[in-house]
Amino acid sequence: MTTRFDFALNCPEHDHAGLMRAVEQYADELALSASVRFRLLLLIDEIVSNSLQHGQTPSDPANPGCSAEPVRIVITDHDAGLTIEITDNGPPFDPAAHPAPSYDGQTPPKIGGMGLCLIRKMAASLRYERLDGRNHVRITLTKEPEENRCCSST
Amino acid sequence: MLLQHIDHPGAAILAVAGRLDNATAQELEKTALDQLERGVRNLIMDFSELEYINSAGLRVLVMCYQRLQPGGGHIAICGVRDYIAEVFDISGYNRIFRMCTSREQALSDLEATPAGQ
Repeated sequence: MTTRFDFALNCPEHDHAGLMRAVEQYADELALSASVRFRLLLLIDEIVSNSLQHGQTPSDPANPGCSAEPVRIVITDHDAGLTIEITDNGPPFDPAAHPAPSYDGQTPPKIGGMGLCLIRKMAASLRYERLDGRNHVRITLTKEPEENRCCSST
Repeated sequence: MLLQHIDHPGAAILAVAGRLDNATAQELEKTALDQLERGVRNLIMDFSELEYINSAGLRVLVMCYQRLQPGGGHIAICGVRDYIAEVFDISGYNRIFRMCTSREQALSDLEATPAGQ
């Protein structure tokens, strides 16, 4: 059976924690394993944090601190895996192409950038499109994840 | 997040329960940096009750490592759940932090390591 989660993040400062609670509840309803549940939460957390940090969405005059055009998060459960779709109208930002420093085991580790690295390595697939002035990020997550490492040479 | 600080002759122990994320990382950062300012050379992060960590939490750990490493100090991380251990494996940070099963093992490991190694 296919189930769907749909959340509109209008007021980042107030709604981010609410989003994470809602995703946790959805993950519990799906009875995901601890590992897949964690990956789902982390992927959404990192992508949305990035959107909120770098995006400059138009503010809503009627609601200070809120956006007139929300970040939207849709999760679809396909039994074998999950599809996560996140859209926002911030400046173009491709998480699949943006440089993501990773620790190579030799040079001192850098602070920052690990969120993008985790996104790329935890997702089974990551696709970005800029459509109608909005960023569209589509991630698939398998329910039997394989481990990739940020410090791999690929 | 619930943060508990325990002083030990060999290390400052910070036990973190709950979520370590954008909303809570700053509290851990402040507490850890306070310890480093006091001259603590070794930190043990007890994550046995940690339920969630994101890149903001990892950032605090790396920052502490960068402060401690030049003086020969170490960070040990103990008790992580399997799904959180994956983050350290994937990031490669399991190679800069001492990953231990328990607080006792972390203390023993740090005490057996001469400064600077």
